[in-house]
Parts: sequence; structure tokens; C-alpha cells
Amino acid sequence: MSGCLLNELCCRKEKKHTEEPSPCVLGEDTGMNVDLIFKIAAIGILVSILNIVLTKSGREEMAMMTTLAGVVVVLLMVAKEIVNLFDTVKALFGF
Amino acid sequence: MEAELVRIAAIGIIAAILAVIISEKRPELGLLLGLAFGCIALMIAFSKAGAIVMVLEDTVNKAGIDGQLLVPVLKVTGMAYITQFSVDACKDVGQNSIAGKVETVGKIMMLVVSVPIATSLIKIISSII
Repeated sequence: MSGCLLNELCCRKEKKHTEEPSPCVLGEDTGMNVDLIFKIAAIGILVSILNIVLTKSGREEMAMMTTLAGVVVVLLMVAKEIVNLFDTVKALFGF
Repeated sequence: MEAELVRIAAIGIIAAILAVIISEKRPELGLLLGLAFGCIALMIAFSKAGAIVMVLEDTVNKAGIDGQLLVPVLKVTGMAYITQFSVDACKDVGQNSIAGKVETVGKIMMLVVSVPIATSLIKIISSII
């Protein structure tokens, strides 16, 4: 949270000096994105643990569903990030 | 700038270790983690690259070159970055044929963008002759 605030403050300071808004706007959410990796890792570990527990208790189909749900959730998160990146590149290079 | 590099380097180490831990049980999630790291790293890098494009445009304007000539160059650069990212992601997953197709499409589209410059060059040359 404080990192985000700091980033915003830096942005405002930069805005006074330069007229170019794009690097500043684009840099705003970089601090927030770092925990995406931790989120994905946590989901991965959670899913594998759930998978083991469900498999041991004889619920193979539920284990498969859990795996699928985990993959879909992570895929959605990563897809959002990819769209974000491509939009950044588009804005930067003037598509 | 160096703060960003240190940040990306640190995140890279952490992401690599986490990917190894996850890949043991769930290889697909490990690959997605690598993709997410790529997105984050490139986002941080590109958020700083706006200054370079600005300087480039400024230099072209000062040199008296037509600003329209720079547009395809920048476009092709961006397209190359996007294509390379996608190809790397496909190769990471192991789908080399899809990666090859994406690469081919990228090459064709870059050619389409750069054809007007080539035709204008030919026009200039023919007008000189």
C-alpha cells in the first residue's frame, strides 16, 4: 500500500517536470503486480495439496476439478496481465 | 532505473525458485508463473522506455526528417517485442509449431507495415533517375 502511494507521489512529481504522461501512468501499477507471482505460487501449492488430500480420500473426480479450477483461475489472472502488457506496448509504440 | 533492475532481478530469483517448487507437482502452473513474471518484468521495463521513444521523436524532429517515417519503425519494434514474447511463451509450453506460426504471422505483418517505406524509397529513387 505504501509502495503504491509512494509511486503515485513520484508520478505527480514527475508530471510537474515533464509533459509526457505515459511512462508515469504505466509505472503506477508495477509495484502492485509483484504479489501476482506469490499469488500464483500459493494457488499452485494449495492446489497440489488439495489434489493429494482428495486423491488419498478416494475422490479422484473432485481432485481433477480442483486442478482444473486452479489452472483456470491462474490463467485468467495471467491473461489479464498479458492484455495489460500488450496494451502498454501498443500505447508506447503507437499502434 | 537501477532500482527497477534490482527489483526485477530479485523478483526473477524468487519466481524461478517458486516455479521449480510448483513445477514438481503442477508443471502447467509453473509455466504460468513464468509467464506472469515475464509480463511483470516487461511492464516495468516498458514503463521506463517511454523516455527513449520521446527522445527519438525529438531527435527526428530536430533533424528535419519527416516524422511520419519514424512511425513504421516504432510500430515494427513494438510488433517484434510482442511476437517475441508470444513465441517464447509458446516455446516454454513446448508447442514449437504454434510458436513458428506466430513468428511467421509476425514477420508478414511487419513486412506489411514496412512496405509503404520501401515504396516511397523506390519512388524517390525513380524520381532522381
